[in-house]
Amino acid sequence: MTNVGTKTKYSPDTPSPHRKTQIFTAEQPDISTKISVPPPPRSLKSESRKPYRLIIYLTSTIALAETLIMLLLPRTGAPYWLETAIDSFLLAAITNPLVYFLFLKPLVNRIAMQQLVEQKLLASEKEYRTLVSNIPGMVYRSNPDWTTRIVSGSQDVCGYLPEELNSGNVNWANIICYEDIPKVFEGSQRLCCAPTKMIQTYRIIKRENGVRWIDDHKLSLFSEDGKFLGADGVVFDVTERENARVALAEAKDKLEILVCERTADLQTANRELQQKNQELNEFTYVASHDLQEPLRKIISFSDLLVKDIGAQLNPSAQSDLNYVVDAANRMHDLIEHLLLLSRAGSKALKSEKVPLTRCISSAIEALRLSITETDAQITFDKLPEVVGDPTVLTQLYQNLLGNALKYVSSNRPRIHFTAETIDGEVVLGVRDNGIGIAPENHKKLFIPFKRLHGRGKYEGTGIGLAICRKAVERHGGRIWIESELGKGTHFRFTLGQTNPAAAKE
Amino acid sequence: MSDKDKKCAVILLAEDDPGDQELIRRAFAKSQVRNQLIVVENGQEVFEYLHGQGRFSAHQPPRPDLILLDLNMPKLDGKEVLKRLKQSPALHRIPVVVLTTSRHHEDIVCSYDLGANSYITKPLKMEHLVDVVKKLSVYWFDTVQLPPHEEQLQ
Repeated sequence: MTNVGTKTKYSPDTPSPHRKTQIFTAEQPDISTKISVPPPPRSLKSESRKPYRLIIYLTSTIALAETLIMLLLPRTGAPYWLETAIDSFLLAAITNPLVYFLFLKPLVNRIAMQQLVEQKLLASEKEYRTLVSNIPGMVYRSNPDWTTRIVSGSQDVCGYLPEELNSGNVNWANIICYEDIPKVFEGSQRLCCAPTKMIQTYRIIKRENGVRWIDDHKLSLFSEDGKFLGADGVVFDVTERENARVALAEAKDKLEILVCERTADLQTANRELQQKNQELNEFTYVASHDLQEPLRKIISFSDLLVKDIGAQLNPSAQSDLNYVVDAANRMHDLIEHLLLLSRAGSKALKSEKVPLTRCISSAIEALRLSITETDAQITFDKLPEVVGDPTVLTQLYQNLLGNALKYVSSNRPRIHFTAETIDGEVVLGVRDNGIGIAPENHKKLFIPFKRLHGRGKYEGTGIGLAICRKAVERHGGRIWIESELGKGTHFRFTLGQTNPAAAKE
Repeated sequence: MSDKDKKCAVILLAEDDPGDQELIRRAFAKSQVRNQLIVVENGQEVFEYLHGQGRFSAHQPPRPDLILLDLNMPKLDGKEVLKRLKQSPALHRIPVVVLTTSRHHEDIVCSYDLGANSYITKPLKMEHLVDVVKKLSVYWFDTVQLPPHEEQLQ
């Protein structure tokens, strides 16, 4: 026995190194023979052709039992337990310590391990159960026939206990909102066709709270051979989210309506503006032609009258006639200037590089006579090149220079063309030492036909500065005045953001 | 060709406004140019005159050497007259000077586009109008070679 025990490390997996032993045992009917080749039980017969890796295990109570429990580990397929009647093997196991150590001891260990695994499985299942019950929604499993087992959470979602739903007292399909049933049904159809994961959002009638929106997360299950096994699902109450979504959609619709209304308003306003603009153009034409026509005749014929019979009239009639001529001429000037202003606002603006010195030279040339008459002294800062309309800019400088030459004080006029960079912006201007303007009048200056002085003292229609403002604004700039009565005037202006950068190019 | 040999030039004035007619007549009188001024009242009459129709049918009027054309006229306005004149093979060589009140950009461009030979804005003062008439006369009848009349061609 000892021989056998020491020489044989029994394992059917490794037959060749022990062939000798096996032969030996086969020849000598011995307990070890029985161990190595246990009589195959009836239920094992079909499997008996397969070689078995192992083994026979005994329960711890084996000594008292009348049967032997074995775990068979086939080379392929799952291991399984087998019960067999106690025979001489058991006796051998009990009586022979070697057999005990070789087989019984590991067996007991394996069983202890098995129990440990079972405990762990239980703990794990409990853990999952807790986890599932903590999900803030309803967990369920549907069978292939769509009968459903609620695992947890149904009370929060639909107000019914899992038992009520599982027992069939309440049918899930019956609490789905009527309108959403086709949608849910269609989803179920898809689930049982192929492995599918989907989220369906639909409404149910909760036991006491009425209609609730839910998200039903579904996953269909199939066996390896493609058989539909049912579906797992989790249902969440998403009423708040859906309400918010509906509110958002409504708000969006309202906003769209509002935008449409506003757009329509704007379009109407735009049309009106276009019409106004058209009317203005027509007015310009009327002013240039139809108003001038009779006026020209008044002027021409009164002119003829003065020439033909002026000398023969008495002084009073002569004075009357002069008033007519004067008024007609002034009317003519007003219309002309009105036209100028209108053109300053409507004529297409050029955008090209202009050296300001050129504009100022042209302005000075145009006013050469006045400059000579007043003996004005003209000086300059270093003037930049800007981007703009040279004609308009020349007109601007001409008007400002004209103003400076007109409103002179008793001193010799000194006029300075200024150019400074303030906060990165080029500020241009014309400064004089003339009569100046009281601050309260500064704003009136740029209003068309607004005159600060009687006609007797200074000529003009009061349109020059209004044209200046229009010229500057059309270039994207602004114009203002720095002046006090008796202390000269500084008209200053900018030509928009683009100009300093453009000037540096 | 000396001054005395020179044929008296015929100028056709199309002007609806009696005041302007009078002013222009006066200006011609004052400028002492040897031109014959014929006045018609509207665009339609321009063609009646040129074709010897209507009130001009009694006797064949002399063909004008120059047409002074107002733009703003009833029946047929100046631009339409200009267009038809310049499209007519028989009349398109007659120089047309637009003499109008309008200084409107569009009117000026349009007139030249239609083939006007000059564009003059009516001056405000009589003395300027007289000046314009004198200059017109000097330019068109002393300086420029006008196209010969058809009867002269033959």
